Amino acid sequence: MSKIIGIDLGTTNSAVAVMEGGTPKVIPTAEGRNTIPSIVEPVKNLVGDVAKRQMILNSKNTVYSVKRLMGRRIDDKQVTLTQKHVPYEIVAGKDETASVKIDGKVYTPQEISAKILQKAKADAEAYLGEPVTRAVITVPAYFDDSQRQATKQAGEIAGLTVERIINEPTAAALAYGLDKKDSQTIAVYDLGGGTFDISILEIGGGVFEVKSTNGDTFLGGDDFDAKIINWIVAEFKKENGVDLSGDKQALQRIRDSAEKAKIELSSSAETEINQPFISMNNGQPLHLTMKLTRAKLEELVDDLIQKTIDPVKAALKDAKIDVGKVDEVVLVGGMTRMPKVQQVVKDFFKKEPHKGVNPDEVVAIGAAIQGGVLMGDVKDILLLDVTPLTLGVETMGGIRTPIIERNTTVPTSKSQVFSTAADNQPQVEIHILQGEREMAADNKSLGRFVLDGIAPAPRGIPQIEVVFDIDANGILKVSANDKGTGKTQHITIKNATNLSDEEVEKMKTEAEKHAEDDKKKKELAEAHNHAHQTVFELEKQLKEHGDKLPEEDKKNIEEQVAKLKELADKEDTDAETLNKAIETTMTAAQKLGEILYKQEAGKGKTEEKPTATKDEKPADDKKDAVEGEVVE
Amino acid sequence: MAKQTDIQTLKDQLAELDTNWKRALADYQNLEKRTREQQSMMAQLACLSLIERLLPVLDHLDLAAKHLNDPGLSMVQKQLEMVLEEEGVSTILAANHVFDPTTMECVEQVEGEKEMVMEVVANGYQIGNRVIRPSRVKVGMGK
Repeated sequence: MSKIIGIDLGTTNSAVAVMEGGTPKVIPTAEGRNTIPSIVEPVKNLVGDVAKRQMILNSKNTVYSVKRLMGRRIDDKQVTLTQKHVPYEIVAGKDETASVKIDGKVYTPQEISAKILQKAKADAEAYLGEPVTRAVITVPAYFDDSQRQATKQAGEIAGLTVERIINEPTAAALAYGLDKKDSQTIAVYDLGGGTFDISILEIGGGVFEVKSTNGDTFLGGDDFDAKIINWIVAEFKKENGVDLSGDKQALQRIRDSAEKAKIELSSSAETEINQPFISMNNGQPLHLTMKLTRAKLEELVDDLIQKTIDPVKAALKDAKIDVGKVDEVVLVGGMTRMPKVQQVVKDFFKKEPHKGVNPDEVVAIGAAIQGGVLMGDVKDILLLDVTPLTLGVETMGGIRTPIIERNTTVPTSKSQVFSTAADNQPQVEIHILQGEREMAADNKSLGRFVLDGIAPAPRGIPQIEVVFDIDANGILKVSANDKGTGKTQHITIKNATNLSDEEVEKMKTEAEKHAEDDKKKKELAEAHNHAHQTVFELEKQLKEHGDKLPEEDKKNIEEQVAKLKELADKEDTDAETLNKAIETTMTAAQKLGEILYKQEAGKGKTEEKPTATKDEKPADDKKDAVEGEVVE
Repeated sequence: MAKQTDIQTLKDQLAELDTNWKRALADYQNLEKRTREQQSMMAQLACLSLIERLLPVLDHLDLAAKHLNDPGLSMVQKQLEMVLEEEGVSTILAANHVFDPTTMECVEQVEGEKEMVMEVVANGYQIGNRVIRPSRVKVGMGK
């Protein structure tokens, strides 16, 4: 059965999303963008970006903002208003419905919208690699029955079974998972490219009820851009005495700059507008270069932002809800990225608005979630848990070695092979840790157990496989298996993933706070491990092959090794000194290697990989950590 | 009888779980495939975003070259174009071509042969068949 896609059929732009693996994904268009301009040239059948590019050339045949006509009669006030704004011809169609006349042919708004939906369908099919026949489409909350019916028809013309028509603010609330809350009042503030909508919703028992809507059908990002463009033109005129407002090319470049500046000022406090060779004056080229600060931008558009507040107040009044009774505020539409807009909304509602989801995509995402619910994808899907914190074991030198990284989806199973730290070590202790800190002692200890009966062997030879397994219920089972003897030991830890949000947050912040410090500690421990291991290796080789060396060389190496050992044994030796000492010792020991290779002529078997060492007494079993070398 | 219904319930549950499992598996496999594709695309895309940001610089160099008519500047311009060419970026041929909205954007209508590109305001670029930025052109409106 086909997937149900979610389509945000917008006035200016449309977007498509689908549920995949339990999460909503926005489907990119064939042009590689996340939104489709809602623009159609029906004669040549051009849709989206392609239609937009030929708009100037073919303005009478290019339809945009057709959503404003959807399901309306020709004498509707909104239609008369739209007529004043658009270059294409709006005529009375069948039953006095508003339609468009292009190149002598009458198209209903449904037919025009269907072209956008067809593109959405085609893009989704290309992305999913399978036919798409079902969709959830969003409409403004204020759409009446005939407008909803028209939207549904548009879907059908496009070859889509419209499984449901849902309200845009409802979709936005769904995208933020607000349907899971009960008895809440939600305000959805939607400031898009060309329209502003405010909706007051009430959620109860998973059902959304629209209490009221309000807005301004001709207020949006385009007005903000116009303000910036006018300012740039005025400033330029003040400075250079040249009016650019009549120069189409210059205006186009200023429009690009204004849009770029607007976007940049959402994240930085100041931006530069640079358009060299924008015009000529007395045969001299003129360059447009000016600074625009966030403060200036906010001043320019302040009245536009304030204009949104009256409709918000009116909507609250209609819903008979006090502003203090609004539980959640959701931001929709590209313009809500502007920090000032967020601030004004926050100040008005005295509440931090939801804004994590991309405001251009949030409605499509909500529609996709609704599609997922209808498919049974969302309702029935196992809500897979993730491990909130990293799980690992303690290894040589008190280092925490991660086995299962945090945010890994469970159920999962991960294993690593460790070895012993000392010769003839009869047992290893597996110390299970949870947390994000580099050193074992700083993490939460979940439990420990001992695997004994390891056959006597040189350090680094035994292979102990440690397996971490978390089942769907968050129960962690850690087992250790000596591959040599087949002996196994395990421990079961309940509630390994069951931490409160505060606990997780606390541990994460701690880790971040100590990150630099922890890294140094870890490096120090590693340097000590490395030094011990170098000493161990070289002592072993000296014992075996030392007599083949000239006495002088042997003595030199022995001295270096002794020095290194002394340094490694002192706990306060810093990492740099240790690493230098290791290097010096290894350089001295090269003589040993030369001899070895000469004598054995490459046929000698290579020793096992050098491994971290700490000269602990094997008798003191409980303290024996497993070694940090991994054989995958 | 109770046993019969039990068996039926279990059978139903099994069928449902089987479907869910297959669907999850399919989703996963598809995701894997797409991730592989995306990874190979990532390198290209990373390059693409850099190129996109370089294009205005190229435009401005173009404008400067036209105004100043300096051979040295033209050399710099050529060099930059060469680098882009080596990355597989090609200029969209627009001048004296019939207007094509898939690769061009009309910014103004001017006198001239209908549907013909009369002037290129800013060059457009593509990598293979993918348009990075359409050419900005002035198009003839016909007599």
